[in-house]
Amino acid sequence: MSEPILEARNVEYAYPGGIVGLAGVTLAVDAGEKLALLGANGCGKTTLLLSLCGVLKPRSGEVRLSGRLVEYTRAGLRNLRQRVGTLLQDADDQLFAGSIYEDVSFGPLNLGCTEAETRQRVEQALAAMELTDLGDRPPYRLSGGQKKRTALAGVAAMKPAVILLDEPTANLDPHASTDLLALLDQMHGQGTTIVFSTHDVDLAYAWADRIAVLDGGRVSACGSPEEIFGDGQAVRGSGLRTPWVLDVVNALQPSALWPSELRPPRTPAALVKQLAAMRIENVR
Amino acid sequence: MNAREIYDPDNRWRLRHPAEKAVFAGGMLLLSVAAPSGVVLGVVLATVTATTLLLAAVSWRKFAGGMAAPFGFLLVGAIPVLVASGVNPDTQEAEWRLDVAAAGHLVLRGLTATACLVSFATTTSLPEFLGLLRAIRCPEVLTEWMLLTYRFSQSLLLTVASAHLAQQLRLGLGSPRARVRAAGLLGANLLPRSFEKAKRLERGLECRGYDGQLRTLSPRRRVSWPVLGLVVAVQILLAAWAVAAGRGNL
Ligand SMILES: Nc1ncnc2c1ncn2[C@@H]1O[C@H](COP(=O)(O)OP(=O)(O)OP(=O)(O)O)[C@@H](O)[C@H]1O
Ligand SMILES: [Mg+2]
Repeated sequence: MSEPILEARNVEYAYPGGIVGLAGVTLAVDAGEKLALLGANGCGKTTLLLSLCGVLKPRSGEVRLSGRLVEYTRAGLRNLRQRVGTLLQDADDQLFAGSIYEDVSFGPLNLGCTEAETRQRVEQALAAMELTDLGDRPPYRLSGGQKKRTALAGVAAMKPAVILLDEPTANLDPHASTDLLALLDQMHGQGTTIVFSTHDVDLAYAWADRIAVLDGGRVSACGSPEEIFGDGQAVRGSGLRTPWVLDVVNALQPSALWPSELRPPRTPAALVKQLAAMRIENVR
Repeated sequence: MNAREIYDPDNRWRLRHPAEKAVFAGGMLLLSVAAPSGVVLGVVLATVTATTLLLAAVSWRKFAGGMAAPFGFLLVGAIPVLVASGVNPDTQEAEWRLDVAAAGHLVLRGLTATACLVSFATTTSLPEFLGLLRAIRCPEVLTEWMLLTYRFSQSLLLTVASAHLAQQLRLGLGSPRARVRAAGLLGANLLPRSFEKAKRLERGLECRGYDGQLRTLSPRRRVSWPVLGLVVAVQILLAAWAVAAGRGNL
């Protein structure tokens, strides 16, 4: 197997006052995957993401980028941020400029891009996030969804290999969530590795390639969505529940309405399709 | 939530090159300082106001809001001119008289000059203005300092607005006593909250490679020479008229 693109080994972090943020996290992110960090409030998701992008320096343990130890120097962090982009939970914490266009230009300029290169990247990112028409608007005059897309454009313009997202769909309405996920899927399709935190089990189950369950500052389980939710053991006691698609399948199984050998679907659409197919078979 | 600022982000000139707006406002300002007669001042005032409200489509609320406070100062400042007093050399008695014309002229001139500045401020955002300053090689210290002051006042205003809303929602502004209490709490919490917000913002910007310098690029805008030419032509006409009017007065 190839080397993980981003890795935490035994990372511990404590906030001032001795509050434990992370109590020894070991986690490897493979290039090109969509990894969900799933956990209840206060389990350490944000702390872990901030540690992975170098904003928080672990008290002990190490963070590695493509196998190389991350150094907390100017050059080391610059290198890390060139490869790893971060979208914070509250977009307001990342937007500052007088207009969207200016804001998005901030990242590429920090990377040392030339003016021409920066303009090209900004225009590309704005087009990808469907923000071109809003380019001259000040960020504070945007809806929550537009702010998120602006912040994402700011990250996308830096062309990171890995993008870390803290609760990307929190505070977004269903339509804006779907839009954002489609944009992220597009970036993922172009080879970007995606790590996102969430407490939305339905989202993690439907959208992630792999799930790491966090509990009390530790990774308590890690595996494919089927492995994590298959028997319900992994999420028991961590303040989470099973995805509703699985709840439906589980409810149908005892009455033999759902054959036990049939693999459970991951999305509502797939469930409906499967049920429709089974009905047709029954009619025959 | 909107921070209160004089710039109107919906104005129709927002995509115009700031140099055009600066020449318009600056030229008109010169005219309003130099114009000899009240009629010329009136025409300049009307031109600036109409252009800003009709062509640039700045909201009249923003425009009036920008004019209100300077207008108040102007009125107060005109009182000593209005009431001229002194000692009559013939009778050695204290006298006073009303000089309405001089006071009116002063207010009109002040109002016209203010309108020019407000026109520029409502149509030009600070980042645009800073870009212009940089283009004419204004020292970086000055532009960075302006930007910082602006950002800080904005974040302070946003904090005030959200805290005010939070208090309102919990009925904290019902009675006069509650109002005083709420204002006290707001004042006490303002700096820590702004500081916390600034810290979070710094962290957020750090994720995007912030190293202490806020570098950004504005959308590319081209100076429209026809527009600039038209502006200058109108101003030359007005100036010529002002000179002619000045001669007539002599
Ligand atoms: N600035 C801080 N100072 C002190 N303790 C903090 C701070 N931020 C987080 N913590 C604590 O660290 C632990 C982990 O918090 P973290 O924010 O990483 O959780 P989370 O999984 O992101 O939660 P949520 O889902 O609510 O965002 C919690 O116990 C929290 O109280
Ligand atoms: Mg969090």
